[in-house]
Amino acid sequence: MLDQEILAEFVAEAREHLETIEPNLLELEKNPENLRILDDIFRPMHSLKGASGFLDLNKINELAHTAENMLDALRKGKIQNQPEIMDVVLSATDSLRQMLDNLENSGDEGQIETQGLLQKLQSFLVAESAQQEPQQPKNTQQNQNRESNQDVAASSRDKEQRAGDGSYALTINSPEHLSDFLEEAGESISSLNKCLLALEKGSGDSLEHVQDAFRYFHNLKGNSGLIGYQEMNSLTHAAETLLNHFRSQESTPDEQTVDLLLQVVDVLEDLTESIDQDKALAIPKDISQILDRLQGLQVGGQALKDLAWNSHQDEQQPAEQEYQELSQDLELDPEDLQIFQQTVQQQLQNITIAMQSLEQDPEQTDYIDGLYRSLSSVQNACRYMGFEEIEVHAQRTAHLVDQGRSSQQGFSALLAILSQETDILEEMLQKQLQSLGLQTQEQENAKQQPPEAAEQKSADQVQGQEQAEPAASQEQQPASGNESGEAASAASGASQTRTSTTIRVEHEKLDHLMNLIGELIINRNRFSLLSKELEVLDAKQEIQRIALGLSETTDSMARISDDLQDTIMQVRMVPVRTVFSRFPRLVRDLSRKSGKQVELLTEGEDTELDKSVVEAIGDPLVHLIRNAVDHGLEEQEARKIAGKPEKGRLWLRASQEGNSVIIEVEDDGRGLDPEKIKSKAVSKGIISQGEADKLEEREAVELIFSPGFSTSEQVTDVSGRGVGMDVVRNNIKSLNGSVAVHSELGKGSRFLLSLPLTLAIIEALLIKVGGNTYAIPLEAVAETTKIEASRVSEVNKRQATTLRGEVLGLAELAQVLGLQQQRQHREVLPLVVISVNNRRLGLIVDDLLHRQEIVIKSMGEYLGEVHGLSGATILGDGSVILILDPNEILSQAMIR
Amino acid sequence: MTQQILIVDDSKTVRNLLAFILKKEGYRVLAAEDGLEGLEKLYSAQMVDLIICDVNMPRMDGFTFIQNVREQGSYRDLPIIVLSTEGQEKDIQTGMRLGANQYLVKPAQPEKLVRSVKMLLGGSSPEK
Repeated sequence: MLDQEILAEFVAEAREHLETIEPNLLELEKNPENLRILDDIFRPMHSLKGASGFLDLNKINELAHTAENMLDALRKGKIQNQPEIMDVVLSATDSLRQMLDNLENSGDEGQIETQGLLQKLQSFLVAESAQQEPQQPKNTQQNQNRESNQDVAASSRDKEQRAGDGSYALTINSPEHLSDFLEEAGESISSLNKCLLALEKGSGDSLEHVQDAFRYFHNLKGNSGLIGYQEMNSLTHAAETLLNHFRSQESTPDEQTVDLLLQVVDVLEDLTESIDQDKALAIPKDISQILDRLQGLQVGGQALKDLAWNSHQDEQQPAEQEYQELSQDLELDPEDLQIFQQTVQQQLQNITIAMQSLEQDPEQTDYIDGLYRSLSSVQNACRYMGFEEIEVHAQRTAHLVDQGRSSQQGFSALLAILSQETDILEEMLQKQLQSLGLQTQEQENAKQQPPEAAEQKSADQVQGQEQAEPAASQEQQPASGNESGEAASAASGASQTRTSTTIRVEHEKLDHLMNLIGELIINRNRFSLLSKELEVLDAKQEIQRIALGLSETTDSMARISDDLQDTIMQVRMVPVRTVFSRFPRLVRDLSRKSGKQVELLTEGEDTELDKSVVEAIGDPLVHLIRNAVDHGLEEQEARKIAGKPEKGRLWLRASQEGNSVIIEVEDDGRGLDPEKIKSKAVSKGIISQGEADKLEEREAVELIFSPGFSTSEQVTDVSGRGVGMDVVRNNIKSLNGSVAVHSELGKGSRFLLSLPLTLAIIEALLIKVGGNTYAIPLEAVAETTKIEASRVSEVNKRQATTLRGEVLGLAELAQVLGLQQQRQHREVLPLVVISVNNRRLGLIVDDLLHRQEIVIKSMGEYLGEVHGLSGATILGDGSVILILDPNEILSQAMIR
Repeated sequence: MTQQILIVDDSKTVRNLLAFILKKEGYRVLAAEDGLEGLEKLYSAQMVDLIICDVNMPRMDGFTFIQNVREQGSYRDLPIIVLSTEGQEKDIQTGMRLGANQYLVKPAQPEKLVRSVKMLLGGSSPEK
């Protein structure tokens, strides 16, 4: 039933909803009093709930529903807005997004842990509404889907969310979070081993060891809770509780206990190792044994009680089965029966209301029409079911109403007889339903309420008070609907999701492509004509003609392929907004975590880039932004002293420069300290002291891109542990881009990412060196020239020359590449001046060939990372040549 | 002439899903994104045999839409199914009072909906 297309459209739609929600949430946080924004959040969440429910996507539905309830309560002022609530709603949108990704990739929602979130969401509701009755799992088959929205009892779902091997998804925001967790867990575990062993040996201050062990367990507990790793969380909680006991008693555990704790640590290590890092899945081991032993040790024991992950048994209600049995007897479709009952209940209720109203004022045409409609609905439903007798009666009554409303005499004359007829009809229907065994507990209130309403009533008791005013919400909707609807569609127009594998293309562009293909085919035919002519060639003068024809056709082919390339490139272009839109959220989270106030300013979001580039720059930018907030911006106090505004500022800019797009991340923080960087690099063994002394400030600053470098004296949980910058550089490099940094101490730093517009095709200069041909991306080539060998001089053991009055460093490309140098003396040296991030270098080559467009092919994994090369390409004659990486060449040449 | 059903729902997913299953059952389908477009489609269409509409929609909500439909004499008996996430008695009553024939609470299984459609159309086959 679930058509792929429908699913894909749902995903697209849902993402648009989320993209409307997120910025509004951030907006709301800034203006907590603005209820209009809440409406704009509520509405898409509501739609998301609706659409997901429709597709039986229960997990998404449940989460969206709970979030919606919470937003509704906020909207109605039942609970107070607070940052914690925003955190949870934002995490909920994250989980929803994740589930949508899963849905898109694998066709189901995947193993996402939503339980914690649901509980958190619910807890805000529970905390604030005192009258709320406790949550009870509840099941009626008839309304199973709706029930599941409301059944928020945690534990029963626990099992469903686990795959066959018991694995379940961890709640992490990004892979970095998980690796951070693993790293820290590893540290805690080794520290635990150390201090427990010391405790066992009785060396040192035992109380201090107990204290330490307590702290490590505590950290592990907190962290594992954060990523939703339940087994680890329960085990560490138990251990922590145990140690807390000793800590408060100022006693030390005996040998046996320490031994057990060491075993616990072993299990914890196992648990850490069993995380599937790629998929963020926990594949837990059975911890019950060790947990039992730990709990057995407990003196008081009471603290461990709330540990248990109880699982309730699902109460299976036999409703569906009943319908089935019934229908077997009667040879009726069970689902038909269900619908029939529902339809009839609604019609009866409507008839009752219409009759009551008409008795007061018999001329209310809308009630007359309503009465007619209900009667004919009953008639139709009975016809469908084959209940002829009732059908006939309903038809007769409907006919009566129809006659009454079209005649000129008042309707009042008909009322008495209609009242009789409808009573009879109702009786017949009740009897029919009863005979089908469907009229049991509802019988009493059937006249008052359709089953939907009855269901809803009981659901309300579960749900509490938040939904008590649906009519009010209903009435508010149309009022706010207009603007929010527009906002939603505006957002949908601009938005394209980061992970989406599809791309939207304008019709016109496709038409154009189709035209080009048409021309291509004409061209092909011309070629084959020419080749046939060549085959039967007899006169020599013909050759001239055919050669002309061939070159004409080739020219036209060139024009077509250029046009094709341009058009396809345009199709692949997306605005950087798609990736920038993630960052307000990131900055907000970072700002909350670090306690620094940060203002994010973005510019040039409409700058377009190749889709694959846009997708790939997300992570490097995250690194840069994290660094900027964590290391770049100072604490509030420090900023005040430095005379800067208290709120740190962070700029994110994009702009196009020729064939590249420049993305800047700038902060007005403390800037990079070249001296500090140098000494750090020396202490880390990245460079020697001698090398450090020779470095200019700018070169020193570049050291932050070296592997294993970190200037932060204090590792914080916000940014990484010094793995960041070289990863950033490698990522950007793999996109044929480059990273540069400009920094002024005390004023701030600016990172410049220069990215190619597209990955696939570049213009390049072909040169010859060491007997081979290489390509240098034209972007990096400032100029080509030839100099006399006599003008080369040596400065600081480096070759250099003066070019138009400026000193230019020189390097033999053959030497840089480690090639055999053909040492014949040359009078004139062909020179390629490359310029990367304002650094220039003259490369001496054997020969300058020509420039041409080349298609970049990756070198494949087996070659790994070859320094100085960024890829390969195939020339027209079929030969493969290598593409040089100017950035890398420059760095290599400088080191020499 | 095949029976034609007008779907009015602001969710593309719902519209497409309904259209998909209804077409499979042999109905012709028209779709509109909100009440206003729904009215336009209804007025410009040759013949609509049944309407399925959402309540919560931008520009014109479902209840207003139904009211507008019912105000036109020629549509006073046109079967309308309301399909909404708001499933409380008040809403159902409002919907029914304004002129809905049936009020279904989302998420209604598509199967169910098709049966309701058939029931309201009296079980006749889509080909009249």
